[in-house]
Amino acid sequence: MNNPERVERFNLAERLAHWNHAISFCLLFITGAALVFRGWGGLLGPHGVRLARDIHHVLAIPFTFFTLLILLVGTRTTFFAWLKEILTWDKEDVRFLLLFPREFFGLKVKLPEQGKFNAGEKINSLLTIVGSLLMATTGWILLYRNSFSKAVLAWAYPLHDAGALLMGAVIVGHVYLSLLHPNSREAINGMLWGTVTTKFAREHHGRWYRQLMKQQEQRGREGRLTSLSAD
Amino acid sequence: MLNHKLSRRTFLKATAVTTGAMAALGAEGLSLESWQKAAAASPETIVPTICEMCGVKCGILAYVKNGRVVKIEGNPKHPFSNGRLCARGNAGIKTLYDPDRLRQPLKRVGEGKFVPISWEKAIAEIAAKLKELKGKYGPETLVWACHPELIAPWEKRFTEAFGSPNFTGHAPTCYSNRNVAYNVTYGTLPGVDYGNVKYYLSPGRNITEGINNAVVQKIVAARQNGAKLVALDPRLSNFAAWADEWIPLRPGTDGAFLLALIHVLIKENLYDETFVREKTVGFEELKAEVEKYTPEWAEKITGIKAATIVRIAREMAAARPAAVVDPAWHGGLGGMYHNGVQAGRAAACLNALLGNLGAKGGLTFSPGMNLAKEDKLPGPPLPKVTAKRWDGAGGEKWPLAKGLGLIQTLPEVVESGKPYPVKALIVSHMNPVRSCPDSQRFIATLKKLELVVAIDIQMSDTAYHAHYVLPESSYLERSDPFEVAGPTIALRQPVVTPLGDTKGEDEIIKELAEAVGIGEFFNFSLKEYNNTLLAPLGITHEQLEKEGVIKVETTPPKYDKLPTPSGKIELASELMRKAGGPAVPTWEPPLVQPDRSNFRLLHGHVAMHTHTSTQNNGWLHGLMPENELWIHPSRAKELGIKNGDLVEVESSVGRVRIKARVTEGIHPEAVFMAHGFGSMVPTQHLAYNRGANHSLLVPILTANFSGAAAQCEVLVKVKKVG
Amino acid sequence: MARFAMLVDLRKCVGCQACTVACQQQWGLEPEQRFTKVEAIEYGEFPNVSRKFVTTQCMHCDQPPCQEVCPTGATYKRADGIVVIDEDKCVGCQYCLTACPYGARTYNQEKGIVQKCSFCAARLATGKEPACVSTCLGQARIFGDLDDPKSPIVKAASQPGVLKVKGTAMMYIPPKGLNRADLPADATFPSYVSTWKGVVQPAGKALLGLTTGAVLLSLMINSVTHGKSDGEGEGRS
Repeated sequence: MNNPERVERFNLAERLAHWNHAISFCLLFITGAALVFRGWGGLLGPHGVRLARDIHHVLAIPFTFFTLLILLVGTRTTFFAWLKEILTWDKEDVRFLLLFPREFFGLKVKLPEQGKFNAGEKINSLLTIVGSLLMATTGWILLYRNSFSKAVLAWAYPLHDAGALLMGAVIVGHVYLSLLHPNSREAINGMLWGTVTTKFAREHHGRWYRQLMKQQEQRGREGRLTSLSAD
Repeated sequence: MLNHKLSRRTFLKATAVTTGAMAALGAEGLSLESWQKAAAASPETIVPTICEMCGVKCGILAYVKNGRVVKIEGNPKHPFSNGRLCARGNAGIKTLYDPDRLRQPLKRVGEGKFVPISWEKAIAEIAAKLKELKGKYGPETLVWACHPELIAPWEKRFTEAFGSPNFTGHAPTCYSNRNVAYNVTYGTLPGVDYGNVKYYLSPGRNITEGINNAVVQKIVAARQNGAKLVALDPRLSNFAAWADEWIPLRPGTDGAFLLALIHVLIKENLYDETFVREKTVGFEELKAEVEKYTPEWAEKITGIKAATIVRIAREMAAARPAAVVDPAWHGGLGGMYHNGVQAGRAAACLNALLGNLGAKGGLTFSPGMNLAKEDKLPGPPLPKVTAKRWDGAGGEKWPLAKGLGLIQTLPEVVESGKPYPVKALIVSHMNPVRSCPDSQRFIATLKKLELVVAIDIQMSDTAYHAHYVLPESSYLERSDPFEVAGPTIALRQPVVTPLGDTKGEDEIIKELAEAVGIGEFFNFSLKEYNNTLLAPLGITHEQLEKEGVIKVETTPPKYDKLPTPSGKIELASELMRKAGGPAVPTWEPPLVQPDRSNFRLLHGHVAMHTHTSTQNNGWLHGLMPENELWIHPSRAKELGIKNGDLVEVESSVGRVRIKARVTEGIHPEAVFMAHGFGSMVPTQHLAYNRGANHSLLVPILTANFSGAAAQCEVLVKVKKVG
Repeated sequence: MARFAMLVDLRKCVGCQACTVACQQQWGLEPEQRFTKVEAIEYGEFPNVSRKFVTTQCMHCDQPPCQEVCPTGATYKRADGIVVIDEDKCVGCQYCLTACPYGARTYNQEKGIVQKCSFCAARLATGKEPACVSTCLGQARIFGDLDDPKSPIVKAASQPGVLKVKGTAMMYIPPKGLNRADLPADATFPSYVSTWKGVVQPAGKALLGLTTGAVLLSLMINSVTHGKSDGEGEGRS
C-alpha cells in the first residue's frame, strides 16, 4: 500500500483495541448514567434500569480485559512505543498545551511541531489509562461487593462516579476533535481505516512524518540492495 | 453462545426475541403479575387452633389464603399466649412446609433405607406382629413411650386395652426428682402465681430459654412491678443474665444452698410460724437436720459467700408470702443430678417455711374443672391389667416413681431380659435416641427389638431405626383431644388439609386398635370423645371449632386438706420414710466431682429451639444452626483453646466434636452445650450433622428414689482438635 | 400527618427472638434475612458477668442516606416518617446496603431486591401493630404516632430513662449496666455519601458541562471562521 497520498498511522490491532475500548466505554457510560442519574432522569423505569445494570456488568469484561489483550497480543511493539512516548515530555509539549486553546476555538495560532502524538493526545492517553484502571478497579469492587470491607466498598462509589465523569469530559473533547473540529477531523480516518493524508501527517505530526520518510527511504535502499544481490 | 458462529439469521432471531421479551416485561397483564394480584385479592380465613412447636400448647390463630397458611399469630383469647408467640410459635409455617417432612408411611428395609408402604399394609403388618409378640411373650412385651401430648389419653388407653401396663413418659429425662420431692411434701405438684411474685428464686430454671410463653409474660410484668428475681445457676443463662441477681454456684449444689437458707430462716426466726404450725408436720425434725447446714458450711460447698446466703434468706423472708422457690422443671433440682430429690425436698420445705401455698405470688394448685371421666365413653370398660411394669416404676424398687417411669433403663431391660422380655416399642412425640442418655446404646437397643414403630411428623433419630415409620399430620393439619388451659378449654383443629399421606394420631390408634382386636375400646370418634368428656361443662367440640377458646366454670383450688398421709405439708415426709429415705431433706453431694483434668458437662435449652424437633425448621435453623461448647477462659487457656476452635469432648461413654465458645459466663469447673443438636439423620437436610449431641456422652443413671436420669452427672475431657 | 416511632424498653427484653421470627414470618423472608435483630453483649469477668440484649432494625432516619444513593427512587421516606422500599422499583443494586450506617438492610437472593423493616406499613394500613410489637413476650416494644396524644408511644416516650437515638425514629430504655456505645449510634450521614452526592456529582457534572460548552462554542466559532475562508483545512506550517 504505497499510496503517496496517505501514510499508515494505526495498524489493525491498535484500531481494534481502540474501538473495543471506545464502544464499551460509551455503552458503560450511558448505562452507568442510568444508574447514577435515576434512569436518565426518570426516562427509564425500574426494568430499564435493571437492564442497564445488566448490560453495564457484561460490558465490564471487554472494557477491562479485551483492550489490553488485543494490544499485547496483536501489536506489542507499537503498544510499548506508545506508552513510552506519552510518558516523554519536553518544552515543546508544554508550549503546545499553552497554545492549544487558541487552536481549539478556531483562532489563528502557530503550534510547535509534534511527534506521532501531540501533547493533547498524550494527556488524553494518560487520562484514559489512569481513568480506565480506576474504573475497572472500583467497578469490579462494586461488582464483587461481598469480598470487600464496607469501608472499601463505600468509597468505591464516589471514586467510580468521579472517574466516569472525568472520563466523560475527556471523551467529549476527544470525540469533538477527532470527528468534528475542522483542523483535526482527518484523524478519524487514522483510527477507522488506519491511514491519514500525508498533508495531515506533515502538518500535525511533522516530527513523526519525517521519521516515517526516513524509514521508508532506508527500506527502499535495502530493497534495492537485496534485489541486486539476488541476481 | 459465544462458541456458535453468529449467523445473520440467528442474530436477527435473537434480537426479535429479546425485543419481544423486553416489551412483554413492561407490559401489563403479564401472567405472573396478574396471578399475584388475583392471589393477593383472594379471601383470608382465620382458624383458631393450638401450637405444637413445644409442649406449652399456646392458642394460635392461623391465617389461611388459597389453601396455604400465610401467618400464625397468638390467639388473644388463650390464657397462655394472650395473643403473643415465641420464636418457635412464629416459625410454625416452616415446619408445616418443611420439604423434609414425612409424607407417607415407611417400612425399613435396611440401615437407613426405607420403602413407602400403604397405611392398610403398615397397620396390618404392625398388628400382626403385635399379636404374634403378645402370644409369645404376653401383652406386657409392648412399651408405648411418648412425651405426653393431648393425645396421651388415647395412647394410654390403647396400651391398657392391649393388656400392657407399660405406657411410659419422658419424666426421668426431665422432672422426676421434682415430682417426687413435691409429691411427698405437698401430695401433688404445685404451680406458681408468677404474675404476683415479689421475690422469685429460680433453682437452675431458665424461663427465658427453656421458654414458656405464658410464664415469661407474667414474670416480666412482675419484675416491672418491682419483683426481685434471683437465678441459681452455674451458668449465666439468658434468664440469669436478665434476672436481678445471678448466683453462680457450683453445679449440683442447689440443695446445700437451699438447706442453708432454711437454716437462716429458722435460726433468725424469719419463717411463717403460724403457717408452719397450722399447715405442716415435721418442723422439729427439719430444724434438727438443718442445724449443721450453716451459711459457712454452704459456702464451702457451693462457692457462694455466706453473707450472700444470709442476705438472700432475709430478703425472701421480708417478701413472704409472695416469695417463692420455683419448683421448676429439669434444672438444678428437677432431674439433672443424683441428689435432686433431696434438693427438691429442700426447696419444697423452704416454700412451706415462707408460707406461700395458696398465697398471692406463691405456690398454687390448679382450679377444679368438672370434666367427665373416660368411663362415660361408649364401649366396654378397660380390662384390668395384671402384669407389672417393665421398669418397676411404682413397684418395690421405685415406689415413689409411680407415674414417672424409667424410660432411660430400656437398654438394660432389653439386654438383660429382666424383669421380662420387652420386644415391642411404639414411640410417639419422642426421640429417645437423643433425649435419653447414651444414644449409641439406645440405638443398639432399638436394633434388638422385634418391632419398633415411630409416630412422628419428621424422621427423628429414633424413627430412623424403626421398623415402621407412621407419619403423623402436623398440628396444623389435625385435630386432637381438647386442651385444659387455665380456666378455659381450647381445641386443636385442622387449618389445612394434610400435605402428604399423613394421619392424625387418633386415626392411627383407632385403626391399629381395630387391626389388633381391641377396636371395641375405641368405639368413638375424636369428636365424640371430646363431646363426652366436655358434656358436664356444657360445651361441644363443634362450638370449640368456631370459637377456639371457651372460658368455663371452675372451682377454686382447695388448700386446706392436702393429698398427703397427714393431710398437711410434710416437712418430714412419711412417704420418704416408708421408701427408706431420709424423712427430712438432707445434703447429698453430687454423684461425680470434676477435678483439674476434666469438666462436668451441663446441658440446657435455647429460646429458638425445642429439644430435638426444630433444628430442621428453616427460620429457627437460620437463627441457630448448631450449638457450641461453653468453656471458661482460664480453663480454655490451659488447653490452648480459643473462641471458635473445634474441640473434642470425651466421656466414658462416647465422644463428640463441637465448636468452642470461650465465655466468662460459666463456672470454671463446668462446660455446657445446648440440647437438641447433632442430628444423625441424613434426610433432615438442615439439621443433619450440625452441632453435637450431648446424649452421646451421658451414661445411663437412675437417681435415688425418683429414677431420674441425672444427665449432669457426667465428667468429660476436652481437647482442641481444629 | 402522622409521625411514627418505636420505643424498645430493653428492661423487658429477654432475648427470646420472637420478634425476629415474627417479622420473618410476616414478610416471608429468607432465613438469612432479618429485618430486626437481637444482639447479646457480655460484660465482665466470672463471677461478675452480665449479658444485655439490644434489638436493632431500620432506624427510619430523619435524613436517610439510603434514599440519597438509590438509583431508581425505590427507597424513600414517607410523609409519616416511615422509610419504605417500593419493591417494584428496586433493582437490587445494593447501593443502599452500603450506605446504611445501621446495617439494617438485607438482600433477598431469591427475588434479587433489597428489603428492610418498614414498621409493617402494610399492617398499619389494616389497623394492626407491627408484627414484632404484637408478638413481644415482654411487651418491650411500643409503637405509635408521636403526633397522636392517644397513642401509647407518647406516654412511653415521656418516661424517665428514655434514650432517643438522635436523627432517627427509634427510642430505647436501656437496662442498668448497658453501655450507650452498645446501643445504635446517633444518626450520622456517611461521609462517602456526602462526598459522592455533594462533591463528586456536582463537580463532575460541572466539568462535563464546561467541556460540552467549550465544544459547542468551538463548533460555533469554527463554523463561522471556516465558512469565511474556502478550500481545504486551515493549514499550519
